[in-house]
Amino acid sequence: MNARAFDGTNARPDSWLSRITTAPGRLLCCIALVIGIATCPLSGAGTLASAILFGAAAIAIAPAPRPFLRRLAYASLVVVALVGPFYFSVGASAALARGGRALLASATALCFAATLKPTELGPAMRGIGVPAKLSSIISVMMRQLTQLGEEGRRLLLARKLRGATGMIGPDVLASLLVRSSRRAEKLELALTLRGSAATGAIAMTAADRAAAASCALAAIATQLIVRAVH
Amino acid sequence: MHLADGIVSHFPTLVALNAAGAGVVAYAVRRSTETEAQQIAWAGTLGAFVLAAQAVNVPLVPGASAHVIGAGLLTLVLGPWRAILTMAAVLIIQAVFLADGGLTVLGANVVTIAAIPCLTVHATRSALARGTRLGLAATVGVALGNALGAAVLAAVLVYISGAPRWTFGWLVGVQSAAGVIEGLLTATAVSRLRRYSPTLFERTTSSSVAPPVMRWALLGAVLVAACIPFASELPDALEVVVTRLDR
Repeated sequence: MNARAFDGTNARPDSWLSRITTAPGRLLCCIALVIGIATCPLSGAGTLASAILFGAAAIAIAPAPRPFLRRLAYASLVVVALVGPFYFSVGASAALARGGRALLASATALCFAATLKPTELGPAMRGIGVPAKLSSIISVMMRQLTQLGEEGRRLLLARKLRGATGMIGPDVLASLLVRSSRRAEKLELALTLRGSAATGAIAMTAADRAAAASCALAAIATQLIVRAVH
Repeated sequence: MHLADGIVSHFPTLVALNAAGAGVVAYAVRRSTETEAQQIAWAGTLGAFVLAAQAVNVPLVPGASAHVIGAGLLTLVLGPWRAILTMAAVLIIQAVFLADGGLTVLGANVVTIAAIPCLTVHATRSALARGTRLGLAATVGVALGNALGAAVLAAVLVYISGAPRWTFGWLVGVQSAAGVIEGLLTATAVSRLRRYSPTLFERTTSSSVAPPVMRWALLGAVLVAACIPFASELPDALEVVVTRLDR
């Protein structure tokens, strides 16, 4: 897992899409386009259509190339592991087509991930109607993850200075777990004293709705055209 | 064990799996009865720990590595329904920020990585853990939960997506081995946490009284898991008839 994915440095608030929409709108756009790509028929036309949808998302967002490619490389490992066995049942070309489609769907999701700050995810989920209990857990998790990363780095440094290797093992994880429990107790007290633990929602704007509807229409139109050609 | 976007494209299956995942999450939201602050603080913090722990992949057998799932630890500390919610939050974050798992198969991942392991661990704890046998319940529950989750995922891949049949045995075998290791790690983590906070696991004790249905579910799960190695690769009766008709 790429820890920098969660520190906010990869977010692109200056992209064209980020300027006209808010986080919940972009999340809905992402879901619509990814569904469109992931369910496209496995054919030449389907792959071409998926590539066009991904290309449109990439142009609208223009993610920073290095972090995007780093995350895509990680996602591609998962795709290769899942698609590999299909080589033996459906043949090389069909397995490649399936892998290509999975990779395009992942790449499109990663493009949109570049427009989201980690702290925006919880409120954005709440904005699209996800229950408050779930979106609040997501918000707290994103905040705690940064602190957990810092504590992990401090722990590894301390071990290194004492002469141990810098590898993460069960003892490091156990120490982090106990520290996490301590932090959870403090956080529970803080949230109780504050009176409310629920995360606020980012309200959807008219531009968000228009963007999400456009993406959904693009995905549906692509499906219809590809199936007609297929 | 995350299913990625684009691997399963059969639309009715996708709809059914996502509906199942959404149903489980909706039910978990209803069943989470603790106070809001308590729920969110513990779920968020331990969820962040599980997210970080899932990043550590270790080589398991030649050509395959595995990572912990974390459902067992969450279930024992938070109870099954809050654990399912927390695992769902972990899966959402992974799908959105890392494309690990996928948005279109989020429901499938919630079923195989969150619901099945969490409920299996809960059922095992209910059946086994009277008194201090929490470590045993953790080990058995996590191993069984991982194997059952992997079996469902493998069934989707083999019978719906067209992966070769050996994928089933391979995936279930690798995940079962990973589950045994994770079970032992979870038992160690539980004993550490108990030393730090002896009352921590009492929060979920009230829900650990096994209703009969949970015991029967656990027995059924064990029987299904035991039968998996004996599954026949021969066609069933209907397939034989159809094949003969084709001739």
